[in-house]
Amino acid sequence: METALPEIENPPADAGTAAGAANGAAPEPAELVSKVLVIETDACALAAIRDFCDANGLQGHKVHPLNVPAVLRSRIDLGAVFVGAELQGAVTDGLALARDIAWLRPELPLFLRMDGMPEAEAEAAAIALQREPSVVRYTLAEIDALKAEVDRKLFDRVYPTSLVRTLGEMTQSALGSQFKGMQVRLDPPYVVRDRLIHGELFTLIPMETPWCRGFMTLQTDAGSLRRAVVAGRTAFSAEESADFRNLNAILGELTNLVWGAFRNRFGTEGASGSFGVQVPIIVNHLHRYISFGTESPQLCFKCQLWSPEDPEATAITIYQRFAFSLSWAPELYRESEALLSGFVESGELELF
Amino acid sequence: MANVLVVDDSSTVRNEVGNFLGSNGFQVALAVDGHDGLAKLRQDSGIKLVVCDVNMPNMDGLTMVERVRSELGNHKVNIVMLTTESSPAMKERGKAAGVKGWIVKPFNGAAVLGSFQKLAA
Repeated sequence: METALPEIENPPADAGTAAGAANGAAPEPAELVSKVLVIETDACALAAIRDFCDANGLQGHKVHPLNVPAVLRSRIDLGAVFVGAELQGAVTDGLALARDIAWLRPELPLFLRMDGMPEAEAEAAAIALQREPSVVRYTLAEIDALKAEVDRKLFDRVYPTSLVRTLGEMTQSALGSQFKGMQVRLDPPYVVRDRLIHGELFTLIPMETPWCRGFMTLQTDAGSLRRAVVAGRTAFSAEESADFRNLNAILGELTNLVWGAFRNRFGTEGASGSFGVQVPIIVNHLHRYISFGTESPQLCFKCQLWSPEDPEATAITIYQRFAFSLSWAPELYRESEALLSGFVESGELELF
Repeated sequence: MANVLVVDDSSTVRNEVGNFLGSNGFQVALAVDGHDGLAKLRQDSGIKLVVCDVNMPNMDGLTMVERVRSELGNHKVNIVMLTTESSPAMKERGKAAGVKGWIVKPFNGAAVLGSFQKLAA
């Protein structure tokens, strides 16, 4: 089947991210994208969905119907799923697949293409899917009408370009200070609807300014972090790599550095503080799932580090997510005037 | 007997700063929070320089500094804050408590070694 959509045959070892740069003047909304799965067997539908994705900030990844469960298990960060109700030649029924996905990952918007279904079946499916609020039915003839749904479900939150760029810069700086001699690269920022937890190590810290309240998480796997310690790339010696607490401490200090840089850059004056509204954060360890109590898409960075001498053996991937779940008022966003007027560089001693 | 005390709840920072100072001829003691720092200062009168974080559990760094000056009556020890905080209000509180200097993390040993050597002399 000819299509320009990249295909996911098997769960990739590393969940990729979307493209899209965050450049431009401060008031501009950042150009963010989101990765979507496309489960289709029809060439015309694939072409139309590809065009739709290209035009609407979506990075489509085609997946064979039989590989869907494995791909979902592989913990790829996703924004939505496109699925055809009629999958030609596939063992799996598209409608059944849609119901399974809606049950497994109800947080993901699911765009279900109804072309070619007998009317009676389509009506029965519509009734059955009424209980699935994440499912949006469409036909190719009206695919452009999905834009409003995509905007509402994925891009309803404005992230100022300068904010996104600054978050990336402060993260890159913190990573560079904690991992000596390692190369650092941040993939372009993206948004997700998923609530997945990557790896075994996870930090969580409140992020509060007058214009936002929420949390930042850093997530990674212990094995790659341990290898960085063994290779002498951190503050710990190789012998200290066996103690999991040291791995915790590395991610903890990294979190602290980004949090501190965020506070210094954006200020905290006027933030509602710990007495403001709170909602429970729910973690399900079995499903490696976290909910911040909001349906809003999260802003994500995928950070990759490696040693130039042995890039594969020393690779670390850190997933950074910002869930401004408690309040978000980008119209009030501003950088701290203290920073703009200039103050001491990090690392320098300011004597009183 | 130590001449420098590093107070930070992060073992990453204690290791990084402690190892750097140790390899540059300092005798280093470590403390995990303000309570621990206060106890170490009480036990060891040879400490000339304290490198201290601000945000720590149990007792924060600025409270520790205030208690070093008031409770211990130790006005000689030089205290430098090593922290992610850089707000003018926080620095003012530090200055009022008798903090000698302020470093915004991350730690850059080469940039501060000369000053530390003078402050620990």
